[in-house]
Amino acid sequence: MTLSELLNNEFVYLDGGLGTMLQSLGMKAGENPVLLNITNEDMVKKVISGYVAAGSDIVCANTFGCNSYKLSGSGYTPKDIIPKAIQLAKECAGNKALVALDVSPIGMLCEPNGSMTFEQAYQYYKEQIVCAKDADIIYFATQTDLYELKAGVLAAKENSDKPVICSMSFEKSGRTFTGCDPISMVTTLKGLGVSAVGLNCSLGPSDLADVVKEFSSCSSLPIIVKPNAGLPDPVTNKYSVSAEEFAKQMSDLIPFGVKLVGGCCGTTPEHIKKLKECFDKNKYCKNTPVITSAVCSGTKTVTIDRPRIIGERINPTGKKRFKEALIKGDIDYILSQAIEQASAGADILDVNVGIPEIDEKEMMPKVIKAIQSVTDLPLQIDSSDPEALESALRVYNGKPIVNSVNGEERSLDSVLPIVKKYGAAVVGLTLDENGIPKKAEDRFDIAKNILKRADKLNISKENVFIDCLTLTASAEQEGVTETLKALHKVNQELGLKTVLGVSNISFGLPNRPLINHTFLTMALEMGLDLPIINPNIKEMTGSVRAFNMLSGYDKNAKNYIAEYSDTDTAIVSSDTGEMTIFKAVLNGLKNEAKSITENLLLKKAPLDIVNEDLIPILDKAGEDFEKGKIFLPQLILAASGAQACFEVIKNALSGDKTSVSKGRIILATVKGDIHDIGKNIVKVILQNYGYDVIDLGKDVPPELIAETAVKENIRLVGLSALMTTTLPAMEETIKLVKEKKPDTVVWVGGAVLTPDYAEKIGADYYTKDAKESVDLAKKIFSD
Amino acid sequence: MELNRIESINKREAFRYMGFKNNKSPDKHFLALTDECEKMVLDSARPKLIYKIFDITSRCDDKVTLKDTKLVLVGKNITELLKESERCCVFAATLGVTVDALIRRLEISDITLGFIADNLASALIEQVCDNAQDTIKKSLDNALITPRFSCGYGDLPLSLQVDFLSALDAQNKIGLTVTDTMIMAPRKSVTAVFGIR
Repeated sequence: MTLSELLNNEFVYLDGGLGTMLQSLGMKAGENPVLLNITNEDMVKKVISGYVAAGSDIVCANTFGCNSYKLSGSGYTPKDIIPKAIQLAKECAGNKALVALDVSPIGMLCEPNGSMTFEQAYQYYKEQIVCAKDADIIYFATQTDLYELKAGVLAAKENSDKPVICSMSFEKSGRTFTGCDPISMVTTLKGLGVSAVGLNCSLGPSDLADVVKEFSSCSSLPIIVKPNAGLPDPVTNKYSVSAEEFAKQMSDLIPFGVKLVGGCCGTTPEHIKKLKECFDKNKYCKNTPVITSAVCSGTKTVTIDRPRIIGERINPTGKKRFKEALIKGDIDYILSQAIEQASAGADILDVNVGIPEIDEKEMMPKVIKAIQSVTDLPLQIDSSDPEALESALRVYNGKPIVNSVNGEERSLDSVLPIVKKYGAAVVGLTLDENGIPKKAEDRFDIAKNILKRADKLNISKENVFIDCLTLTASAEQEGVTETLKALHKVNQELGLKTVLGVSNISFGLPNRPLINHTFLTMALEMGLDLPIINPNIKEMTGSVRAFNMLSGYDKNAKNYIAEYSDTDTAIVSSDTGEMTIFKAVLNGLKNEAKSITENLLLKKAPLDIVNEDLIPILDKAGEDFEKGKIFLPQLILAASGAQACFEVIKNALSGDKTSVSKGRIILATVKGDIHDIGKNIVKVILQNYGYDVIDLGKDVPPELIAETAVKENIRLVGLSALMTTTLPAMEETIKLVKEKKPDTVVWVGGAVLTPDYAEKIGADYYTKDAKESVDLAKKIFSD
Repeated sequence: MELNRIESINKREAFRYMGFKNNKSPDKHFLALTDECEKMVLDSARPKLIYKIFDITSRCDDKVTLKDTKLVLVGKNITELLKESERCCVFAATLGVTVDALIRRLEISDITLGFIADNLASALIEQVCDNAQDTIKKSLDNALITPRFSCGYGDLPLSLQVDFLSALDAQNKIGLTVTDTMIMAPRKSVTAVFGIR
């Protein structure tokens, strides 16, 4: 018997609650049940045998929570327990049921919500998977974070040949605790090759009906439903839904295409017996969802059922400031570009970090992780280097677009297999060894070939998007209609979605926005699905919105009206007097601060503005803060006002040899600590004073801080910690930095620190706030 | 369990966290920024609560043991707090990861807004706990209850956090976890215990 044979049955019966059954036999709340595989195998076998007798086709081994994080301190490792647990379950199952390795979440949240990295999650899962050679199925259950689950599925696929099934724990709202919804789960996992998807735990069957319906509307994979017997009483700990009632509520879900059914917390062999009796009288209702092209992040799916905007701004081509940010590792600048485009109306963000000065393979995953920590938009990974593409695809949370493959053999051979492996969508460029064909028909042929090659690898049609390539109208005027003709043909005859970078069209012509805007409208009318544009330009984003309204995609003009009926509610300063840089900065009025700086730049050198205007204002704010005339919030407000001025000045200076830098400083929150707002405030204020800050982020290992100090020849390092539990890591970091680079000055700050303690752990200085930190930097760099 | 939406955040408390001293209130401009952040924090918060009520089985040597759980409360302070209680309530509450994501985003786009939202969220989770205690008290026929006490207060060790969460099955029930350095994730979360007389 195998899983695929079982799936030929009308329904597949899973087991019921394991943990709650063990508790009813005497296990205490808070105990790790997997230890019972060693200490009380009779108890474990009693429960599993009960489910086999009740009619379960698949039973879980008692391995939920059997990872080395949850086992730490127990004296056991997964290797000690998992093979034994599977053997016990096999003894109970005999030839009546298959045995699944039951895999729980690790127990820590994955980045960016927690401190566990994607790579660590992968290792924790791999450690369990390799012990499960005797299991028939690998079952990831009660998962809440799609990112962590992706790490698990990759670990399973790369280290085992067993089928993988997955269920997540959804709330009534249709989201998991980390915000994943059924469609994003299905969109991502289908591409990764799992055999069934669905939900378990959380609530009773009737409370989860809406979530099951959502699965049924989007999943072509078999659906798993394994809910709780209602909710437990906080006093008696008893679950509320009886076996009969459970079976009835579950059978109400049959019309929505449920296939693998069972129970979770609070359900018993009796629940499964009744469930089976009830379901055996019914037939499976096969699900036939409409297949649409879709991409997603960990929490948001964008279906390409109408034109969607791909934001083009995260790309260094032709942007000095962006290149500089990449070289300096100024991730915040890149993130601000992501946030700006998201709020301007982009649906998907293109991410390109290719410049000769950096290692794209290393930078790509770093930037992808950072961007997905501040936006829920799906991403398009843009690189010509297959290794960089793969490193990004691996750490991407959800289903991205790969930009791009083209008709060249070398490209098809290297890019398509990784698109398939990671379940992405792909953009195919209509060019090959001979360059870009002039004629629409020839571009169409290349598109056809790309589709054929994708099909060979089982990449389905809805995941292939074609870019017919925009040429510059000033150079090749007749090329404009060829592009549009090719696009139309691909769309109509191959039925593929199309992508087009729009802005190239106007290169070398006056009034570029007018040309771009007009070309965009023409292309949309020809069937363009994914325009790659600058969404910050209101007319471009507006065209797509208006097109969607006029074409009837935007029903009742709902989105259009929501975007444009709002009057501007921006906060206006109540002060009506003349705006000065002084007022603008102190009140944190960023727009005003920006435009005043722009005006000042017309008559003053950038560095003079820093020294004669900004720093005196900040000094005044700092002084007032010290005297207690203003408080921390107002100091931060002034800092963000000055930050806006600095952004203008940096833009003016980018590419220029003159530097505003007054000195280079490393800042980091130490290993184990994930609080970083304090450090970020210090960073902004130091930057305001013209210091170049290398921000290593939070939860930073001592080695990285020491290495960076050596590599970048840094004189001053600032460390922050907010918890007593992370002070040892701070001490360790100081020791290592001093050992590797003895002339480095290390200063520390954070809520739990005192001057005495700072001295005790070997820090050179302690500062109590951002103002003192600036004073310290001035002192160090004036020496 | 999911909780009702709170309509406004206790801003006086949030201003105190932010560092406004001597009850000085911020100017109009700052108040407007705070209102803007309050709306964002309330919209992104998904407050959740899980609690269990345990019988106290013994109280000696500065240790309180509870029935049917591995969790043992350690320390002079907690023993003193629970000295007249026969039962106690262990609970955990969180605003969810969505608030953390909001603060992360705001810190990049405007550090001032990030700072204000961070402090408002801290005030909000305390309000959630106050409401939770009220609700639980009502469900117990208005029994007398003690103030709440958390790990890391006084001599109740921070490391007990792990046992608190596993006794409540908090990861599976409300999505709350703790790092190996005892920091809770999602960040705006509280675990606590209070006595029931």
